[in-house]
Amino acid sequence: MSREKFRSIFVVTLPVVLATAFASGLLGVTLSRGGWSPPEILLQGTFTILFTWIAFWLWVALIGAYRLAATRKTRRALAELEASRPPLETLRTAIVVPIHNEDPDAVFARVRSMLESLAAVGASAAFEMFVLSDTTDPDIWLREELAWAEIRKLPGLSRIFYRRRLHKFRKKSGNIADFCKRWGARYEHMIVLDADSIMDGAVMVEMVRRMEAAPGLGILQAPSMLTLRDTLFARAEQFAAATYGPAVFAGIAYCFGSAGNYWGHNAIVRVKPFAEQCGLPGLPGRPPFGGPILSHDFVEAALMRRAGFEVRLAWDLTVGSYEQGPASLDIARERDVRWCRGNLQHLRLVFAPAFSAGSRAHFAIGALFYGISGLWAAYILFVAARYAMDGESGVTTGFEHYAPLVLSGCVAFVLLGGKVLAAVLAKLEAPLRAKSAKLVRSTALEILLSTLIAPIRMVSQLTCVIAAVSDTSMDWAAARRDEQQWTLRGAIRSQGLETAVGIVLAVTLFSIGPGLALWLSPVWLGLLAAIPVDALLSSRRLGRALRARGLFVTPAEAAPPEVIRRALELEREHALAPSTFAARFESFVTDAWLNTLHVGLLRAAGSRELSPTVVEPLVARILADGIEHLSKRESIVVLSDATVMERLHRLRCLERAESSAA
Amino acid sequence: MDGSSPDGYGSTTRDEWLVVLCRFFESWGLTDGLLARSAAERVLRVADAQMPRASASPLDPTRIAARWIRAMADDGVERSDWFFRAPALLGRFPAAFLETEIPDVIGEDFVELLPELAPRSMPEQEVIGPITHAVRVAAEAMEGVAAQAAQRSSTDNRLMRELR
Repeated sequence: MSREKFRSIFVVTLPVVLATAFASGLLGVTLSRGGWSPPEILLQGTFTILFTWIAFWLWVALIGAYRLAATRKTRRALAELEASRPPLETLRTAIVVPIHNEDPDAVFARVRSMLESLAAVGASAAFEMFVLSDTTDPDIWLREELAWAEIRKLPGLSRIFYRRRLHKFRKKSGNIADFCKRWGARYEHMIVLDADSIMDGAVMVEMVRRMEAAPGLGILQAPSMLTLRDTLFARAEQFAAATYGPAVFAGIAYCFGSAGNYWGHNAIVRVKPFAEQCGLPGLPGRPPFGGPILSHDFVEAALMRRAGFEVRLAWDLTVGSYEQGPASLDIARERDVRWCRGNLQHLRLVFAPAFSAGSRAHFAIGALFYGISGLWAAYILFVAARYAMDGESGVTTGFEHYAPLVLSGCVAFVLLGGKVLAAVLAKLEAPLRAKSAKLVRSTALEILLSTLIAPIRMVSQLTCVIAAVSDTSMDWAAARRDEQQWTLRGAIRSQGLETAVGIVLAVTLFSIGPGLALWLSPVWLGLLAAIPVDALLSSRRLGRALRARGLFVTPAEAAPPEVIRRALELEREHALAPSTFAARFESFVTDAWLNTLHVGLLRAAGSRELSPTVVEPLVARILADGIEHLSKRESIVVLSDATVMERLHRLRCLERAESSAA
Repeated sequence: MDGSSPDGYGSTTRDEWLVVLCRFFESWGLTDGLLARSAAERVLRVADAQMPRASASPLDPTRIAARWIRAMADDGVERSDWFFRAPALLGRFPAAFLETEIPDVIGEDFVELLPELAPRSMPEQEVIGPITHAVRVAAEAMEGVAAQAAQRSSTDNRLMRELR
């Protein structure tokens, strides 16, 4: 038996099974006193699954906490050793940033900051960066080109390229595949980022070094810390990720070993095996379970493992790898809808032959992450059903004393024990981040908020599952990264269902028995308060006020890394002056340099030349009325045709020349 | 230069070309109006001189102007650096630009904004479900059995023929 197999059976699985058997057995003894009724059997089943789930994650966190504590000194010594190594010089790595209708100012500020960070560690020559655009908004497209050209003009930052895909096939995975097909043989590795990712140059260099040191390593995933958000919801999530994340990451890395997972960004990928072995297939059958693979990263990791390459989590690189989390409950729900659809589709792959056990586990865990909300809801229903059937006599059977106590004890242990231990370790890991009292207060507040949010997210994720299973459109909406102003109307739209469920649940529980209603009060109270809770969580003012008081402060905020500080500075300083699309389009038509830039980019990416019957009427309308009278789709058609853009430039020049000459 | 030019300019007078070229240079960073006009006149002189040789396709003076800019800004180190450097160079060193010779010919690709292609094939992988896998395994097993049976029967037939 291999070491990893022994570890996964005896160190990871066995303790979870034993703990679940103990707790489940205890509940079984309690429930079976008066014989088994159908709700009791169902209650026992759901409890067992739920307990396995929470016990697993607690155990992962405990393993990780031990690992963090045990390796603290070694990791520090290694980090010092790494810092003294000579810089990378040979070009082997591409950094790819797929974008789709993102804010160009923010994206290119991050991109420039990362390039500067690489320059600061003397590694500029070893990396080339590609911004791979799939943008469909014509104005954002032109802004992307302008922002890219501004960076490109700067001395020393010439290793950044911009490519907008004209022929789109699949979404982000297709965008990356297109890169591999065009330039894949130019690079040994590629660091894949998201539009909101930001990585420190030293971390990117370290990841390349690890890939070079281990030729069998196919994907190395860096954990990413959440940052750069101000709303209370986001700040609580940022704090939770920074505080509990390191222990969980260390635990996951231990549990899965070489069969780790890939999260689609902040990871380095070996290009050759990725191109040869990770081309995504379409799944046979109809959506939602068939059709194109929506959530590509898990499948790519599984294919990489299937090809014999390792996929590992660099659990110790928690400093220097960042992304933005959702700003509000509503945006988190939109993300959940996307992820849920992708993860449920993976259920088809759990039993697909040739995948490793670890890959199957990732598929199953990903799907169960959303299924678990349904189980929690079912558990509550079964508790209510049993109580309704047994009436007040249920109290005397012992169920009221044992089952809730076992469950409450376990949940309390997971929430408090795991989180408190992780917080203590986080303090040891980053002693300068905050004073202990503030860390304790932040942890307590985070526990309170996550308890308040739990029932809201339970209903929200349940609706995601229903939406995912019933929707066959296979539309994968782009991520929303803005921090919109909270409105009552918006909150009613987004949290109305949760509130209604809370009302129905409260009425039902009180009609069954006040004791039951009291016991389940955290659930229905949380749901009833969904709209005011949403208002609180969406508040930037509250988030900033807590930060000013030293609460929810992450290490990245206590001592902001240069790469983040610089990105924020650049975003403020270099934001393009506000302008209309028509004005921007006009400048790309009349300005010879901009026109050459746009046409050059089109030709480099394979310009689309449409039939004159399509283009000519559009050109005539632009010349007569201006671009603003064209739809977005029509504008994209014109902007995508190099010949038309050149011709428009010449016609406009001539027009001006004639009027000047006259 | 009075004449026709390609791609939509149609019949353009010399004065109109001067205006077009002045604006062209302005876009590329040569913001001094007098210098831009002087550069434009030089381009038109070159265009006039090259006209008899370009009998097949009429000359576009803006292409000559672009060639000239590239000749000044391109140091041949990075593929497209010259393109991004040119506006600053023309703005800061207009005299140096005017002293640069206008080249006769320049490569086909005027500006290459992406690195040279280095393609890698990315074939779609096959991921089959457990049922399909089981069916395939069963089919392969049956094919094997059938092949063995066929082989056995052909051997038997041969033996029978030999015995006869």
